[in-house]
This record gives sequence, C-alpha cells and structure tokens, in this order.
Amino acid sequence: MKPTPPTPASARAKGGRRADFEALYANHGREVWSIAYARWMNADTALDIVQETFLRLWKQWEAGEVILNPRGWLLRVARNLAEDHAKSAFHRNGTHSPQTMNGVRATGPLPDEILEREETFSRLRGELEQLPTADREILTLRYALDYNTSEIADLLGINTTAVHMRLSRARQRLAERLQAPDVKPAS
Amino acid sequence: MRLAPPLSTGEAPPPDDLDALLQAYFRAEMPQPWPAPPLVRAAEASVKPKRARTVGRSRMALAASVAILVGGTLSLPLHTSNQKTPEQMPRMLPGEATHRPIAGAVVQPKVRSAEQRLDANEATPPRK
Repeated sequence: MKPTPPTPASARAKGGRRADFEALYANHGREVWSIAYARWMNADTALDIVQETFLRLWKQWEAGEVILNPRGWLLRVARNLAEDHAKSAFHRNGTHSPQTMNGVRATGPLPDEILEREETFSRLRGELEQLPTADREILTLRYALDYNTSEIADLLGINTTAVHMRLSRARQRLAERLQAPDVKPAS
Repeated sequence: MRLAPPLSTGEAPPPDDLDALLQAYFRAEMPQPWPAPPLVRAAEASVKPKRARTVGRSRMALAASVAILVGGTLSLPLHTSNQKTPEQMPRMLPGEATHRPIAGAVVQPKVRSAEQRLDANEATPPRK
C-alpha cells in the first residue's frame, strides 16, 4: 500500500519542527556536552550522550509531546543518560572504572611539546576526576564555554552566590592538588 | 595557543596560569568542529526518495506525451487511403516531371489551330 504523500500543512509543520530542532542543537548542544563530560570525563562518551539526548527530544516531538522548557529537559535527560551509561560501563569494563582507561595513549614518538602538553593534561584530568561532579560541571561550563556566573547559575538552577562559592572552592581544591606531590590515591 | 608552564611540585599555579590551563584543557576536549545534529543524515535520506518519485513522475508524463505524439503521427497516413507512400510513388527521371503521362489516363491529342497547321505545312515541304 502506497503511503499517502504529506499534506502541505504537515510538511510545513515538520519543516518548522526541524528548524527548531537544529536551533536547539546549536544553542544547547555544547551545554549538554559539558554536563555529560563533567559526569564522564570522556569527550567521545559525552558526544554520544549528546546525540542520544537530542534523538530522544526528536522522538518526543514526533510522538506529539509538548516540552515547555526544552533546555531543562535536555539537561535532565543528559544527566540521566550519563548515569545510565556509568552503570552499563561497569558491566562492560569489569572492575576497572572507565576513568582509568582514559589515560591510555597511542604509542609512538611525539614532539616534545605535544608530549609535555599531554602529560600536563593527563595529570589535570586525574585531578579533575577527584572533584565532585557538581564542581566539574561548573568548571566545564566556565572554561569550555566561557559562561559567566549568571549563565552558569541559570543553567544549573542555582543562585549566583552558590556558583561563586563553588567555583572558588573548586579552583582552590584543584590548585592544592596540583601543588601536592604526584601521589596516586589509593583505590 | 600558549599553555601554562609545566606543573611542578611545591608551587601552586598562579590564578592566571590555572585559568589558562583549565581553558586550554577543556577546549581541547570539546569536539572541533562541532558535529552536525543527529537527524541530518536521516533527513537527507528521507528527501532523496521523494525527489526520485517526483522525477519519475515527470519522466513518465513526458514519455506518455511523446508516445501519444508519435502514435498520432504514425496513424495519420492510415486515414488517407488515396495517398501513396513515397515508396509507392513512381520514380521520375529529371525532366519528366511535367510530361510523363499518368497511368490509365486517356491522352487527348492536341487540337492545333489553323495557324499552327499552316506553320507546320510550311515547315515540312510536300512530298513529290
């Protein structure tokens, strides 16, 4: 049975929905990535969560659901997906936490500058993983997206004073840990 | 892009260096360029079949029009029975187009006028 062609009105509605979807992705895709990255500390995993989050949004629209606050919905779904991913990752990777596998690098000669940069980033990543997820969220939004205090507060649903305090505390804690000798924490 | 100096034990990185280090780190982690939305390929795939159907319909309509035109052109000679096809027409030699008698037609002798008869007699001397 041949599918009936879409009526002009429905085609226009779908085109408008498509434009809205792309606008949301352009405006909030990186925010979703930041939240997912803060939870998982893995850029590829965070990107997978972004793709899945927006796919679910599209399916909701296709099902006729009306989402009054798409931004809040996206962040909530991203957090849930990040948690679900963490649970499933434990079964995939066994007793090794996924974070420890992020430090695996390709072998081969690298320029000294790049090698030094990678070492610095690797140590920084290790220190970031020791921070609470909430602090990592603020750090990611602040330094990856250049969000100011008000924008971070609006996105996380907290007041600006709390953002100031948590950001200051996170930076101080990070500075202290980077200052300390390179001693691996006991697992 | 300048990075903060390598971290050394016993010295806390100054705030500016720490900010620069954190900024360099998080920006390096973020995918560049930012990937397209997840439905781009699905949307393009859904558009292509529609275009194919539209083109197919146009081609079918054009083919039908050409078929009707050709068929009508070919059927025209069948309606005119007296006319002969070019192959059936007798071949004429140069110069005979106006003098070749029509097959089956009765050729009437030319009726010469009196002046033409006198001219003819003067032209041909009488036999002795």
